[in-house]
Amino acid sequence: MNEHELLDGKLQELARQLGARAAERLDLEATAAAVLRRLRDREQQRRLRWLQPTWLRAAAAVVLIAGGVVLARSIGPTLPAHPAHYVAEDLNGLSATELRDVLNGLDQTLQNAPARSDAGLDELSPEQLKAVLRSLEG
Amino acid sequence: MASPQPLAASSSDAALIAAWQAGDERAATELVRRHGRALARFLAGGGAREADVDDLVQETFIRAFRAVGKFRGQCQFRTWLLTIGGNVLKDAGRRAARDRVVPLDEALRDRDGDPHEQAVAGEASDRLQEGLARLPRMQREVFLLRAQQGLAYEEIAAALGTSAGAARVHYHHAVRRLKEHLE
Repeated sequence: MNEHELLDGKLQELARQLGARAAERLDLEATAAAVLRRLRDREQQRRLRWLQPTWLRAAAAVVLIAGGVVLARSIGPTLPAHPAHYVAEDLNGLSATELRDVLNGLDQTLQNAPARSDAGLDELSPEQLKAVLRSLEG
Repeated sequence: MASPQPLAASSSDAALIAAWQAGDERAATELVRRHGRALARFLAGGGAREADVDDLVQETFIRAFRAVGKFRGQCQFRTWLLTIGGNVLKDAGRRAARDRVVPLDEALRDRDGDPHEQAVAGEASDRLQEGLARLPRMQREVFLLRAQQGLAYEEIAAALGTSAGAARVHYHHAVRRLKEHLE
Protein backbone atom coordinates (compact mmCIF):
# COMPACT_ATOMS: atom_id res chain seq x y z
CA MET A 1 0.00 0.00 0.00
CA ASN A 2 1.60 3.30 -1.09
CA GLU A 3 1.30 6.62 0.68
CA HIS A 4 -1.48 7.76 -1.66
CA GLU A 5 -3.63 4.73 -0.90
CA LEU A 6 -2.86 5.05 2.80
CA LEU A 7 -4.18 8.61 2.76
CA ASP A 8 -7.28 7.48 0.84
CA GLY A 9 -7.96 4.85 3.48
CA LYS A 10 -7.30 7.28 6.30
CA LEU A 11 -9.60 9.85 4.74
CA GLN A 12 -12.42 7.35 4.38
CA GLU A 13 -11.97 6.14 7.94
CA LEU A 14 -12.04 9.69 9.25
CA ALA A 15 -15.11 10.44 7.15
CA ARG A 16 -16.93 7.43 8.56
CA GLN A 17 -16.20 8.65 12.08
CA LEU A 18 -17.39 12.18 11.41
CA GLY A 19 -20.41 13.07 13.50
CA ALA A 20 -20.38 9.75 15.33
CA ARG A 21 -20.47 11.43 18.70
CA ALA A 22 -23.40 13.68 17.73
CA ALA A 23 -25.28 10.65 16.42
CA GLU A 24 -24.70 8.69 19.62
CA ARG A 25 -25.98 11.56 21.72
CA LEU A 26 -29.20 11.82 19.76
CA ASP A 27 -32.22 10.59 21.72
CA LEU A 28 -34.28 9.12 18.90
CA GLU A 29 -37.51 8.70 20.88
CA ALA A 30 -37.38 12.27 22.16
CA THR A 31 -36.51 13.53 18.67
CA ALA A 32 -39.44 11.65 17.12
CA ALA A 33 -41.82 13.01 19.77
CA ALA A 34 -40.53 16.55 19.20
CA VAL A 35 -40.92 16.19 15.44
CA LEU A 36 -44.54 15.08 15.78
CA ARG A 37 -45.31 17.84 18.26
CA ARG A 38 -43.78 20.51 16.01
CA LEU A 39 -45.64 19.12 13.01
CA ARG A 40 -48.94 19.37 14.89
CA ASP A 41 -48.11 22.90 16.05
CA ARG A 42 -47.25 24.04 12.53
CA GLU A 43 -50.43 22.49 11.16
CA GLN A 44 -52.45 24.33 13.79
CA GLN A 45 -50.67 27.60 12.99
CA ARG A 46 -51.25 27.04 9.29
CA ARG A 47 -54.98 26.52 9.90
CA LEU A 48 -55.16 29.65 12.06
CA ARG A 49 -53.35 31.68 9.40
CA TRP A 50 -55.80 30.37 6.81
CA LEU A 51 -58.88 30.95 8.97
CA GLN A 52 -57.98 34.50 10.00
CA PRO A 53 -58.03 36.07 6.53
CA THR A 54 -61.06 33.99 5.61
CA TRP A 55 -63.06 35.37 8.51
CA LEU A 56 -61.78 38.86 7.83
CA ARG A 57 -62.82 38.58 4.20
CA ALA A 58 -66.26 37.26 5.17
CA ALA A 59 -66.75 40.07 7.70
CA ALA A 60 -65.66 42.66 5.15
CA ALA A 61 -68.10 41.24 2.62
CA VAL A 62 -70.99 41.42 5.11
CA VAL A 63 -70.12 45.04 5.97
CA LEU A 64 -69.94 45.98 2.29
CA ILE A 65 -73.28 44.34 1.48
CA ALA A 66 -75.02 45.91 4.49
CA GLY A 67 -73.52 49.30 3.66
CA GLY A 68 -74.60 48.97 0.05
CA VAL A 69 -78.17 48.18 1.04
CA VAL A 70 -78.35 51.17 3.43
CA LEU A 71 -76.85 53.46 0.79
CA ALA A 72 -79.24 52.23 -1.91
CA ARG A 73 -82.20 52.88 0.37
CA SER A 74 -81.05 56.36 1.29
CA ILE A 75 -80.33 57.62 -2.24
CA GLY A 76 -82.85 55.58 -4.24
CA PRO A 77 -86.02 57.18 -5.83
CA THR A 78 -88.91 57.53 -3.42
CA LEU A 79 -91.93 55.89 -5.12
CA PRO A 80 -95.29 57.58 -4.60
CA ALA A 81 -97.70 55.53 -2.64
CA HIS A 82 -100.63 54.06 -4.59
CA PRO A 83 -103.78 56.24 -4.33
CA ALA A 84 -105.71 53.26 -3.05
CA HIS A 85 -103.51 53.32 0.04
CA TYR A 86 -104.64 56.83 0.87
CA VAL A 87 -108.32 55.89 0.31
CA ALA A 88 -107.90 52.84 2.52
CA GLU A 89 -106.19 54.90 5.23
CA ASP A 90 -108.92 57.57 5.03
CA LEU A 91 -111.70 55.02 5.36
CA ASN A 92 -110.07 53.25 8.29
CA GLY A 93 -111.44 55.59 10.91
CA LEU A 94 -115.06 55.65 9.62
CA SER A 95 -117.99 53.96 11.32
CA ALA A 96 -120.40 51.67 9.44
CA THR A 97 -122.96 54.48 9.04
CA GLU A 98 -120.35 56.88 7.71
CA LEU A 99 -119.12 54.27 5.25
CA ARG A 100 -122.69 53.73 4.01
CA ASP A 101 -123.03 57.49 3.46
CA VAL A 102 -119.79 57.54 1.49
CA LEU A 103 -121.00 54.67 -0.72
CA ASN A 104 -124.34 56.39 -1.32
CA GLY A 105 -122.53 59.57 -2.26
CA LEU A 106 -120.44 57.63 -4.75
CA ASP A 107 -123.58 56.06 -6.28
CA GLN A 108 -125.16 59.45 -6.73
CA THR A 109 -122.03 60.85 -8.30
CA LEU A 110 -121.90 57.97 -10.78
CA GLN A 111 -125.61 58.31 -11.62
CA ASN A 112 -125.33 62.04 -12.22
CA ALA A 113 -122.26 61.66 -14.40
CA PRO A 114 -123.10 61.59 -18.16
CA ALA A 115 -122.43 58.38 -20.05
CA ARG A 116 -119.16 58.62 -21.90
CA SER A 117 -120.70 57.41 -25.20
CA ASP A 118 -123.32 60.13 -25.06
CA ALA A 119 -120.87 62.88 -24.52
CA GLY A 120 -120.73 65.22 -27.45
CA LEU A 121 -123.95 64.12 -29.26
CA ASP A 122 -126.17 66.13 -26.89
CA GLU A 123 -124.65 69.31 -28.10
CA LEU A 124 -125.34 68.59 -31.82
CA SER A 125 -128.26 70.24 -33.66
CA PRO A 126 -130.79 68.08 -35.55
CA GLU A 127 -129.15 68.94 -38.82
CA GLN A 128 -125.74 67.96 -37.53
CA LEU A 129 -127.14 64.69 -36.18
CA LYS A 130 -128.68 63.89 -39.54
CA ALA A 131 -125.35 64.55 -41.23
CA VAL A 132 -123.61 62.19 -38.81
CA LEU A 133 -126.19 59.47 -39.44
CA ARG A 134 -125.82 59.87 -43.19
CA SER A 135 -122.07 59.57 -42.96
CA LEU A 136 -122.45 56.39 -40.91
CA GLU A 137 -124.85 54.90 -43.50
CA GLY A 138 -122.23 55.54 -46.09
CA MET B 1 -64.10 -2.76 12.08
CA ALA B 2 -60.78 -4.28 11.05
CA SER B 3 -57.82 -3.35 13.24
CA PRO B 4 -54.98 -1.51 11.47
CA GLN B 5 -51.92 -3.45 10.35
CA PRO B 6 -49.18 -3.33 13.01
CA LEU B 7 -46.14 -1.25 12.11
CA ALA B 8 -43.22 -3.63 12.37
CA ALA B 9 -39.65 -2.42 12.47
CA SER B 10 -39.14 -4.61 9.41
CA SER B 11 -41.66 -2.61 7.35
CA SER B 12 -40.11 -1.04 4.28
CA ASP B 13 -39.59 2.71 4.11
CA ALA B 14 -42.19 2.86 1.36
CA ALA B 15 -44.76 1.14 3.60
CA LEU B 16 -43.95 3.52 6.46
CA ILE B 17 -44.24 6.54 4.18
CA ALA B 18 -47.64 5.32 2.96
CA ALA B 19 -48.74 4.77 6.56
CA TRP B 20 -47.59 8.27 7.53
CA GLN B 21 -49.46 9.76 4.59
CA ALA B 22 -52.55 7.91 5.84
CA GLY B 23 -52.10 9.68 9.18
CA ASP B 24 -50.27 7.05 11.22
CA GLU B 25 -47.83 8.90 13.50
CA ARG B 26 -46.16 5.63 14.56
CA ALA B 27 -44.79 5.39 11.02
CA ALA B 28 -43.10 8.77 11.42
CA THR B 29 -41.61 7.66 14.74
CA GLU B 30 -40.23 4.51 13.11
CA LEU B 31 -38.69 6.51 10.26
CA VAL B 32 -36.97 8.80 12.79
CA ARG B 33 -35.66 5.75 14.67
CA ARG B 34 -34.39 4.24 11.45
CA HIS B 35 -32.68 7.24 9.87
CA GLY B 36 -32.14 9.74 12.68
CA ARG B 37 -28.57 8.75 13.53
CA ALA B 38 -27.37 8.65 9.92
CA LEU B 39 -28.88 12.09 9.45
CA ALA B 40 -27.17 13.38 12.61
CA ARG B 41 -23.80 12.09 11.36
CA PHE B 42 -24.37 13.72 7.98
CA LEU B 43 -25.30 17.06 9.54
CA ALA B 44 -22.39 17.00 11.98
CA GLY B 45 -20.06 15.99 9.16
CA GLY B 46 -21.41 18.87 7.10
CA GLY B 47 -20.40 21.31 9.79
CA ALA B 48 -23.35 21.56 12.17
CA ARG B 49 -22.44 22.44 15.74
CA GLU B 50 -23.03 19.50 18.00
CA ALA B 51 -25.40 21.53 20.15
CA ASP B 52 -27.53 22.24 17.06
CA VAL B 53 -27.66 18.73 15.62
CA ASP B 54 -30.82 17.65 17.46
CA ASP B 55 -32.73 20.73 16.30
CA LEU B 56 -31.47 20.35 12.74
CA VAL B 57 -32.46 16.66 12.70
CA GLN B 58 -35.94 17.63 13.85
CA GLU B 59 -36.23 20.37 11.24
CA THR B 60 -35.08 18.00 8.49
CA PHE B 61 -37.68 15.38 9.42
CA ILE B 62 -40.39 18.02 9.64
CA ARG B 63 -39.59 19.26 6.13
CA ALA B 64 -39.38 15.70 4.84
CA PHE B 65 -42.70 14.62 6.35
CA ARG B 66 -44.46 17.70 5.06
CA ALA B 67 -43.03 17.23 1.56
CA VAL B 68 -43.18 13.46 1.45
CA GLY B 69 -45.84 13.63 -1.30
CA LYS B 70 -43.09 14.93 -3.59
CA PHE B 71 -40.86 11.93 -2.93
CA ARG B 72 -41.16 9.76 -6.03
CA GLY B 73 -38.77 6.99 -5.02
CA GLN B 74 -36.06 8.20 -7.40
CA CYS B 75 -33.57 7.28 -4.66
CA GLN B 76 -33.73 5.75 -1.20
CA PHE B 77 -35.74 7.64 1.40
CA ARG B 78 -32.58 8.07 3.49
CA THR B 79 -30.67 9.65 0.59
CA TRP B 80 -33.58 12.01 -0.07
CA LEU B 81 -33.67 12.84 3.64
CA LEU B 82 -29.95 13.62 3.67
CA THR B 83 -30.30 16.04 0.76
CA ILE B 84 -33.07 17.82 2.68
CA GLY B 85 -30.68 17.88 5.62
CA GLY B 86 -28.15 19.60 3.37
CA ASN B 87 -30.71 22.34 2.64
CA VAL B 88 -31.57 22.70 6.31
CA LEU B 89 -27.89 23.02 7.12
CA LYS B 90 -27.41 25.63 4.42
CA ASP B 91 -30.36 27.67 5.76
CA ALA B 92 -28.98 27.38 9.30
CA GLY B 93 -25.60 28.59 8.04
CA ARG B 94 -27.24 31.60 6.41
CA ARG B 95 -29.12 32.46 9.59
CA ALA B 96 -25.97 32.07 11.69
CA ALA B 97 -24.00 34.22 9.27
CA ARG B 98 -26.70 36.89 9.33
CA ASP B 99 -27.07 36.86 13.10
CA ARG B 100 -23.43 36.64 14.08
CA VAL B 101 -21.81 38.34 11.09
CA VAL B 102 -19.04 35.77 10.83
CA PRO B 103 -18.07 33.66 7.83
CA LEU B 104 -20.35 30.69 7.10
CA ASP B 105 -17.63 28.12 7.71
CA GLU B 106 -16.86 29.57 11.10
CA ALA B 107 -20.52 29.76 12.01
CA LEU B 108 -21.12 26.11 11.20
CA ARG B 109 -18.20 24.69 13.11
CA ASP B 110 -18.31 23.77 16.76
CA ARG B 111 -15.95 26.13 18.56
CA ASP B 112 -17.49 26.15 22.00
CA GLY B 113 -17.35 22.51 23.03
CA ASP B 114 -15.62 21.02 26.04
CA PRO B 115 -11.81 21.33 25.57
CA HIS B 116 -11.24 17.81 26.82
CA GLU B 117 -13.79 16.39 24.38
CA GLN B 118 -12.26 18.40 21.59
CA ALA B 119 -8.85 16.92 22.36
CA VAL B 120 -10.30 13.43 22.37
CA ALA B 121 -12.02 14.00 19.05
CA GLY B 122 -8.61 14.12 17.49
CA GLU B 123 -6.64 16.56 15.48
CA ALA B 124 -7.08 14.69 12.20
CA SER B 125 -10.84 14.70 12.54
CA ASP B 126 -10.80 18.42 13.27
CA ARG B 127 -8.62 19.04 10.24
CA LEU B 128 -10.97 17.02 8.05
CA GLN B 129 -13.87 19.04 9.38
CA GLU B 130 -11.99 22.23 8.55
CA GLY B 131 -11.26 20.98 5.09
CA LEU B 132 -14.89 20.01 4.50
CA ALA B 133 -16.06 23.43 5.59
CA ARG B 134 -13.89 24.97 2.87
CA LEU B 135 -15.31 22.81 0.08
CA PRO B 136 -18.08 23.99 -2.20
CA ARG B 137 -21.41 22.63 -1.01
CA MET B 138 -21.83 20.13 -3.84
CA GLN B 139 -18.36 18.64 -3.30
CA ARG B 140 -18.91 18.46 0.45
CA GLU B 141 -22.27 16.72 0.13
CA VAL B 142 -21.08 14.26 -2.51
CA PHE B 143 -18.03 13.44 -0.37
CA LEU B 144 -20.15 12.83 2.73
CA LEU B 145 -22.76 10.79 0.88
CA ARG B 146 -20.02 8.66 -0.65
CA ALA B 147 -17.33 8.40 2.05
CA GLN B 148 -19.44 8.72 5.19
CA GLN B 149 -22.75 7.16 4.12
CA GLY B 150 -21.27 4.69 1.63
CA LEU B 151 -23.70 5.45 -1.19
CA ALA B 152 -23.17 4.59 -4.85
CA TYR B 153 -22.59 7.38 -7.37
CA GLU B 154 -25.86 6.54 -9.13
CA GLU B 155 -27.78 6.94 -5.87
CA ILE B 156 -26.00 10.22 -5.06
CA ALA B 157 -26.66 11.51 -8.57
CA ALA B 158 -30.39 10.69 -8.36
CA ALA B 159 -30.70 12.48 -5.03
CA LEU B 160 -28.78 15.58 -6.07
CA GLY B 161 -30.28 15.81 -9.55
CA THR B 162 -27.02 15.30 -11.41
CA SER B 163 -25.30 12.51 -13.37
CA ALA B 164 -23.27 9.71 -11.85
CA GLY B 165 -20.25 10.95 -13.81
CA ALA B 166 -20.61 14.45 -12.41
CA ALA B 167 -20.99 13.04 -8.89
CA ARG B 168 -17.77 11.06 -9.39
CA VAL B 169 -15.94 14.21 -10.52
CA HIS B 170 -17.21 16.17 -7.49
CA TYR B 171 -16.04 13.37 -5.21
CA HIS B 172 -12.53 13.26 -6.68
CA HIS B 173 -12.19 17.03 -6.50
CA ALA B 174 -13.27 16.88 -2.85
CA VAL B 175 -10.81 14.09 -2.03
CA ARG B 176 -7.93 15.91 -3.71
CA ARG B 177 -8.61 19.11 -1.81
CA LEU B 178 -9.09 17.31 1.51
CA LYS B 179 -5.85 15.43 1.09
CA GLU B 180 -4.05 18.68 0.41
CA HIS B 181 -5.56 20.07 3.57
CA LEU B 182 -4.62 17.04 5.65
CA GLU B 183 -1.06 16.73 4.37
